[in-house]
Amino acid sequence: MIEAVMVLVVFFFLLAVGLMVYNGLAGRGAVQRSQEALELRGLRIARLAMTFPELQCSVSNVIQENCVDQLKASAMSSLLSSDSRARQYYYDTFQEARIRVRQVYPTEEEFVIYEREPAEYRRSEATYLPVIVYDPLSSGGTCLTLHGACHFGTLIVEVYQ
Amino acid sequence: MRRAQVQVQFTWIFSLFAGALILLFFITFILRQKDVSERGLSAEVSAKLDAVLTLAQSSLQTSNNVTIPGDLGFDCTGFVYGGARRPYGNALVFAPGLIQGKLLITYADGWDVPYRASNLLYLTSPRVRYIFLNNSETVHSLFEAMPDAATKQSVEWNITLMASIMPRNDDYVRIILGASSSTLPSYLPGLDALSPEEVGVLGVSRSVSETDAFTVTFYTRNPGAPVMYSPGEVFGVVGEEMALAAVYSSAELFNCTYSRALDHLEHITAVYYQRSRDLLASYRGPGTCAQLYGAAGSSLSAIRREAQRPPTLMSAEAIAANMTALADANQRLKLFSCPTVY
Repeated sequence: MIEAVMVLVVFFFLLAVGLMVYNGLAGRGAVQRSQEALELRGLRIARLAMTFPELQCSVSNVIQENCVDQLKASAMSSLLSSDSRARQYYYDTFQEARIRVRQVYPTEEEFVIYEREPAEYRRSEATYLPVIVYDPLSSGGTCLTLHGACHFGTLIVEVYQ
Repeated sequence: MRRAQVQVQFTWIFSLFAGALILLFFITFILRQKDVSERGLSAEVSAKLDAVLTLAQSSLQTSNNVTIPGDLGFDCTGFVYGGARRPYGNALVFAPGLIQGKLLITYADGWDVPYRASNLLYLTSPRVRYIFLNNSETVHSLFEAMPDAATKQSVEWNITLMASIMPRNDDYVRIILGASSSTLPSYLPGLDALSPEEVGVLGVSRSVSETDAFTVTFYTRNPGAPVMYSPGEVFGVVGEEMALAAVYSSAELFNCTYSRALDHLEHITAVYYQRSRDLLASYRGPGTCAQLYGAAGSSLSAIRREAQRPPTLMSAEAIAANMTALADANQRLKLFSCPTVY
């Protein structure tokens, strides 16, 4: 009788150790997956932002790829800061993220398009995409096929977890 | 009984109890793992589908066939696979409520009003059949706009030809015709056997003002009634791309997604409006361009106002009229070598 009980005790002990190891490995896998998901979310939002008509450069609806219209970005930024319905609307797309354009040439300038930072977060992930920053107000030149000037910059998308 | 005999019996009972306990533990563990694994798989597949849909949405005027693992359910704000629901944010997706089978056909197009308001994503399956009853230029144009990968057929408005349309084991049959209550397809006897869930009629007509406004009418099936189809929900929509979106959608899904499209139109128009004002404020060239920026601003303001209203034909016509005025102003800005509004 005692032997049977001892066998069971050893068996359950080994089972408990096995479960602990399994849970540890599964937990580590979950952390890695969540990191990957965060990176993917950043990329997804960056890609969405690049194809957003609210930001894209165009002339008579002919879209210029990888180009952010400075006037549109500024208009979008003021819309989001003044209109709570618009803020809520774009939250469904971007959720908790920060989207900004950093112009690096010929002058350095940065403007935030969308910002919704959570009160608390464990980590953040930034995605950088090189873009042309189109300034339609600059006179006397052309940018690609557009009337204005081309500047160079980066679209930065930060997502939080 | 002797003590030894009792002990042997007790040992057997103890072993049975311990064995059952161990078995129960493993069964519970396996069932839990199976559940976790299935949910994980559904979530993984949903995430991959979401990525595919995001990509499809930005590949305009390109039809793609995507292999899917199983049935996909769609509602206004997301899709469901294997019990896992995945929202698609503000993407404007037009699809039947349920796509069955292993193949998904995706097609995206821009919604231009006349500036690009959004990209529309149309989803269907080869098992959904679209029959265009060719009684108007609009229907013909929608037939041409639908990708060839979809199961579509154009049938001339002829009683004999329409009577020859028969069910073919399709999941769903959508009939599209130039809308008018007098032109309802009461001459489709071949489809009488189908249930209201298996067949639907959509009427589409361009506004009499010949602008880019359309009326779309979702007819509902009345099995056994003298009038087989009766008009259900009616919408006034802007742009042929949006009329095509109605072809792909159920009335419920279209109602909700088109409302979201109008929300988007309102916000993007606010961006263009602000842009036209900024262009006007900083413009130092000939007065003609300044006037054109002013005219464009008025049109944009009117479009924004109308986008906030319910989707009636009247509001669609007002938007379409302002679209024409805006396109004209933009074209003239281009002619005068001024920065365009869109």
